[in-house]
Formats: sequence, C-alpha cells, structure tokens
Amino acid sequence: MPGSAFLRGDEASLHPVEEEDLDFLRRYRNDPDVRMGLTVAHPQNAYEAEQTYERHTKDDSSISFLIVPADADDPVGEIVLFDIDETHGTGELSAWITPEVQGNGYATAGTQLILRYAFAERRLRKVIARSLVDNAASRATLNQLGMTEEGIQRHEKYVGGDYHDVVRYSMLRREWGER
Amino acid sequence: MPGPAFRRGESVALHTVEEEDLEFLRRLRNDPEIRFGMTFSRPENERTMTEWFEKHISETDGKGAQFLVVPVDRESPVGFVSLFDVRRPASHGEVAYYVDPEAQNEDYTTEATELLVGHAIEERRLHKVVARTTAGNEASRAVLRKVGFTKEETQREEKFVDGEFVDVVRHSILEDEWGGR
Repeated sequence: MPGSAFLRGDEASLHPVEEEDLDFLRRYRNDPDVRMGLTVAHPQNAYEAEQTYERHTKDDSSISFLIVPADADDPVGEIVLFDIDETHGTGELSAWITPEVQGNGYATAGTQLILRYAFAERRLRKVIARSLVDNAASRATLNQLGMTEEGIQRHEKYVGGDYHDVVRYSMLRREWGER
Repeated sequence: MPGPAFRRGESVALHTVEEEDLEFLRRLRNDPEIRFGMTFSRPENERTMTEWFEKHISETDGKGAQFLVVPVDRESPVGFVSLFDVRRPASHGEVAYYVDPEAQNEDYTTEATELLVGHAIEERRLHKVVARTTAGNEASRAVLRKVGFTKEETQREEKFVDGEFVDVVRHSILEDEWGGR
C-alpha cells in the first residue's frame, strides 16, 4: 500500500513510491501491454527495480509517483517526471496505467497533478511529453490537457518489429496558467 | 597532438582524442562563442575535463564516439565532433560539433560531420542520426542541410542561453537518405 498522498486531486492523488510498491511497479513495467506503449525493450528484475527506485529517490533530475484513485487505496499506475534540467527549466513526463483500468481518466488526472507540481512547485518553464504517433489514447490525453504538438520524430522507436514515429508535445508555463 | 586518423576525408580527418588534447578542448568548451551555441553553461577546468575524458571518451561502453577534426595538411586540431546518446534497439544517435573560432571554416565542419554520420551509419549500423541546433544558429543549420539532414521539429523555448529562452531545431537523417561519403 502506497505512502501518504503528496499531491491531491478530485479523481486521483500522487503518492511517493515506497519499497513495498516495487513488486507492483515491476509487474507492470514488464507487462507487454504496458511496456510496448512505453517502448521499453529491457526486462526489469527486482534488482533493477530497486536501482530505479534508488535513482528516483536520490537524483534530482527525476521523480516518480504512484497514481492512486481518490476512492481506492491501491495504485493504478505510475507517473514520472524525468530529465529535469533546472538551468533550462525543462522536464519530460511519462505515465502508464494498468491495462485493467485504462480509459477511466486516471492518466489525465495524474498528468494534471504532475503539471501543477512541475510549474507551481519546481518552477519549471516547460514540460515535454512524447507518444508513439499511433498511440491514440495517449495522444487524446495530451491534447485534452492542452499540450501543443512540436513535431514528428521520424523512426524514433523500434517496437514490434518496426520503426515507429514519435510525436513530441510540450506545454509552457504560461500556457498552463491559461486554463 | 591528436592521436591517429580514424576516418579520412578530402580536407579533414577524424582523429582519436588523447589526454594532451584536453587543453585544446578546454579552451573551446569555455569559449562563449562556442558554449552559447552548444548551450553549455558550466565552466570546465582541468579536473572536470579529465573526468570527462576518462568517463566519456576513454571508456569503451560501445555507445558514443568522439574525435578531433584535423585538416589533412596540418597536425593540430581545429575542432571536435561527438556521436552520443546512442539508443538501441531504435538505433539512433545524436551528433554535435564545434570548431575553433579562429579556424571557423564551414567546409571543415561539413566534412567532419559527414565523416561522423558515415561512421554512425556505415560502421555502427545506426538507422538514424539526430542533430539539434539553436534556431538562430544559421551556420550550423547550413552545415546540416549540406550533409542531408531534414528538419523534424521546433522545440519551443527549449534552452536558456545568455539571458534568453531560445527555440531548438531538431534535425535527422535516416540511413536510406544517407548517400555515403
């Protein structure tokens, strides 16, 4: 069970990752239905999950949260803010939701919270998100949140035997304030 | 003095980087004319350069490749090129280059970049090579156009350089667009 809430929204909250949550994270980071969308091609065992946890805990350039629905105790996914660059004021976000509960708005809720964290607490100026061009669900979430498409990264990922294009989105701090 | 030539062109060759070359590279990396274009904002002293040399250049982690650019009719370097951030299985990597402001010569930069892209695609079997420049860096964008890169996207206000937020243009070339040089 995740630790106390760090960021609260109406539909979900973001909680710090505890060591007990690593089994949950490892199970889904290896799940083909999750990792294909994230374009992860390396297996993650307990040792590597622990190392990732240590890195997120110690390193200022990345931070990871569990997404927990407001009406539940157990996490339904993870959201990460990584490549945080304090000089340039930028960071990239990435999220996944367990296949069983996708489509309930948890990714949107989690992303809204991490945008608020990035802009209002970390004083970042720009948040980036990338999605495979053919990942309609992910792109719908990013569009709905008001992120802007910057362009297409050609053949940026190799998934399922083919090269795939990637769309890069971004939101500037002043655009976040517009909502 | 740079190490042996590793890949040769008509007017320049790419040579291995040796410890004695760190003084040359330290001068370039601290030079405002270069570092604003590279969006570097950290000073580099002897110690940080040695760490960079040991960690980044001398370690055969199979990822990147760094070279000094030396004109074929000279012995001393005029610039530096780097292949870095190599990602597998997508098989792309990024290139960066900078040339001594005293020896600024677009033909050197163009050929050195061609040699590095050739190395990436023909020797390392990369499928794609990426290069980014700040939007206002016309000289660098001209080099990329000549080598055959295509503009992919404009990254809005991506970097903070000399008091201003600047756009970054990301370019790429795919292996089937590379004519070979």
